[in-house]
Amino acid sequence: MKKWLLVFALLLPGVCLVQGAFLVQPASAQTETTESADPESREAGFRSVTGPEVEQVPGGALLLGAYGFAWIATLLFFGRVHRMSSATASELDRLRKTVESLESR
Amino acid sequence: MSGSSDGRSSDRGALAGDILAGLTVLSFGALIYLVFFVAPMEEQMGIAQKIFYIHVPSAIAMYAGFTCAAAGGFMYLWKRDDRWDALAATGAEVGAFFCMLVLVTGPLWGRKAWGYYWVWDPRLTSTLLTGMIYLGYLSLRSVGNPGETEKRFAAALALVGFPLLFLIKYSVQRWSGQHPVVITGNGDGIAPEMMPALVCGFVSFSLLCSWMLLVRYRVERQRQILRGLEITAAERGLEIR
Repeated sequence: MKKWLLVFALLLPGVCLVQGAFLVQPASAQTETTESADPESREAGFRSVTGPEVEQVPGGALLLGAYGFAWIATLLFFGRVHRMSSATASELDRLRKTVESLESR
Repeated sequence: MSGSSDGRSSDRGALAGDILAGLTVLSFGALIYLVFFVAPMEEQMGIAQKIFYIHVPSAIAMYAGFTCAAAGGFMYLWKRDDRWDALAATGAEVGAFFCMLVLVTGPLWGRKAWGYYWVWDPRLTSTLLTGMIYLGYLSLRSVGNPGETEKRFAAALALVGFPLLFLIKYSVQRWSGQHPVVITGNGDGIAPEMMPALVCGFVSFSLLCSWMLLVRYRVERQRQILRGLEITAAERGLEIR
C-alpha cells in the first residue's frame, strides 16, 4: 500500500507537468513547420523561403523531453533500488533460515 | 556494533528516508507550479528556457554525489572501513545519475539556444570526461563481488575524478567557450521573477539527491553485510547455497 502511494505521489507531479507544459506552450510552436504536401516535389528543386530565415526549433518538445527523461530516470532509479533491496532482504532471510536449521541439527 | 544498535540505526534510517521522500515530493510539486505557472517565459528562448530549472540543480546534485564518492574513497583508503566504501559507491552512482541528467537536459537546451545538441566546449567536455571516469568506477564495482584490491582501486579512481569537478566549475572562466554563465556573483544573469523557481529547483534536487544517497547507502550496507555473512558461512564450511 505504501509503495503504491509513493508511485502515485511520483506520477501525479508528472501528469501535472505534462498538462502544465501544454498549457503554457505558445500556439505558434504547434504550427512551426510548414512542409509541402507532396514529398516528391520537395526533392525535385530548391526554392527560396519567404519570410524570416530562422530555423524553428520546437521548444515544447525539447522541454517535455528534458522533464520527461528526468522523471522516467528517477522512477527507474528508485525501482532499481527497490528491487536490490528486496533481493538482499530475501537473501538475508534465506541465510538466516539456513543457519537456524543448521543450528537445530 | 551490536544487533540492537543496528536495529535502531535501521529504524532511524527508514524514518529519515520517509521524511525525505515526503519533503522531496512536496518540493517537486512546488517546483512544477513555480516553473510552469509563476516563472515568466524567457524572451529569446521561449519555453525551452525552463529546462534551465532542472539542468542547473542537477549539476549541483552531481557535484554533491561525486564529492561523496571522493570523500568515501579517501576515508576508505585511510580507515579501511566498509561503511566508507559504501558511501563512495553510493556517491558515484547518485553522481553518475545526475551527470546523466545534466548531459541529456543540457543538449536539449543547447538545441534551442545554439541550434545544435553538442559542442566540444570546455565545460561540456570536462563534464563528459568526469561522467566517464565515474562510469569506469561503477563498471569496476559491478564486476562480481569486489574484494579488497578492487575496493582500493575503485577508491583511488573516485579520488582521481574529484579534481575534474573544479575543472568543470572553472573551465568557463578559464577558457570561455559557449556554455553560458547565468548565475553570477552580482546576480544580474537571471530575471528576479525567475529566482523563486530556480531556488526551489536547488532545494528540490538537494532533497532528491539526499533521499537517493540515503536509500542507496542503506541497500549497499545490507549487501555488504550479506556478503560478509556468506563469506563467514563458507569459511565455517556451511552449505548455504
